[in-house]
Amino acid sequence: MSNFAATITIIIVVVGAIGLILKKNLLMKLLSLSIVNTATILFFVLVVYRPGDRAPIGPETVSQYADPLPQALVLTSIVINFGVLALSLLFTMVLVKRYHTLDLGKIEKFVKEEFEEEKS
Amino acid sequence: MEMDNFSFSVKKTFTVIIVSLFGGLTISAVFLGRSPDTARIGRLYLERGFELENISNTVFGVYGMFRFYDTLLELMIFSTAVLGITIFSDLEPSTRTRGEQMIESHVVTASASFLYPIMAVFGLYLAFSAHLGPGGGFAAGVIGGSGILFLALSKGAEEMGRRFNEHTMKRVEYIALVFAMLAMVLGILFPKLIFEDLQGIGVIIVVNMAIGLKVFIGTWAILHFFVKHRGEV
Repeated sequence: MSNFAATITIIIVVVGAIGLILKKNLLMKLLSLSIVNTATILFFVLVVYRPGDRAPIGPETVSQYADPLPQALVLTSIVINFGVLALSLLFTMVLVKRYHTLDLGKIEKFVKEEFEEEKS
Repeated sequence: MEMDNFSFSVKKTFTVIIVSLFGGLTISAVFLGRSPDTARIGRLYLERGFELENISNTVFGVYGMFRFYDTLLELMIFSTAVLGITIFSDLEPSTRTRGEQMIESHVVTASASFLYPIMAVFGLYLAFSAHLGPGGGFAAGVIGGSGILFLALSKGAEEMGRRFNEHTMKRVEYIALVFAMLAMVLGILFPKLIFEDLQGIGVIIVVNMAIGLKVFIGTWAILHFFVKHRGEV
């Protein structure tokens, strides 16, 4: 059954990636990035899940424990997601303060106009 | 103009197809690959984890001992994010004038003052006991930082910013970062000296405390920035 659950998480990743590429709104892009990250964490959890596993703490035999490696990887991934999201939100704030829009197409147009003004 | 629209929709379809193809390939890999019951990636880590005498939390054994570089570079990425936010915070101070603070509900203001000490103690406990049970420096720091954010929401971000002097915080943060990295690099270079002679425990607790302090101040810096600038633009 965990195969079907993993399939659903991959579909969520695909939806997030399409949103990340096609959405024009910067905040929507960040939201999609967050969706991709959460779905990846979910995928890790589902792939290693076995019913009856215990947390790998304490003196018991190896076969009774859950896999510790994905847990450590997910820990890293959460912290990095936090850092990336904070920094990209900051850059979004800088852009919005300067151009007063979240639309990426409009921001590109403004930047192009500024560049041509500087050149002439 | 019509031509432009047409080409854009082609681009859109193409993107959807490529990404879906990637998703389909991954799904087929999940179905065709080995069953998750037999594929246990970390079995080696589990077996070696029990060789470490003083660490009963194997997850901490993996990211604190066997995958040390992961933790080191993770710390560096987090520090880079915090550094970017502090630089921007210095460049562009908040445009909000004093007395313009948003008013929080009474539930938040009443509960913050007696819930914060509990959160702080819980964070300290997680940093101290990461090798014995669930916990770790990062979790401890984030819990402490969220507690301070809670306090800041009830007392006002400016008041908390004054209480935690920014320059002192920054200095403490850098000292903690350098200390944690020094201890980690020394641990990589002389594993015998540090991890075996001291039974691992002393160094692990000190490194965890340094990481916790660093992440605590970094989380507070990030959250403080976003609380200070909310409602602007």
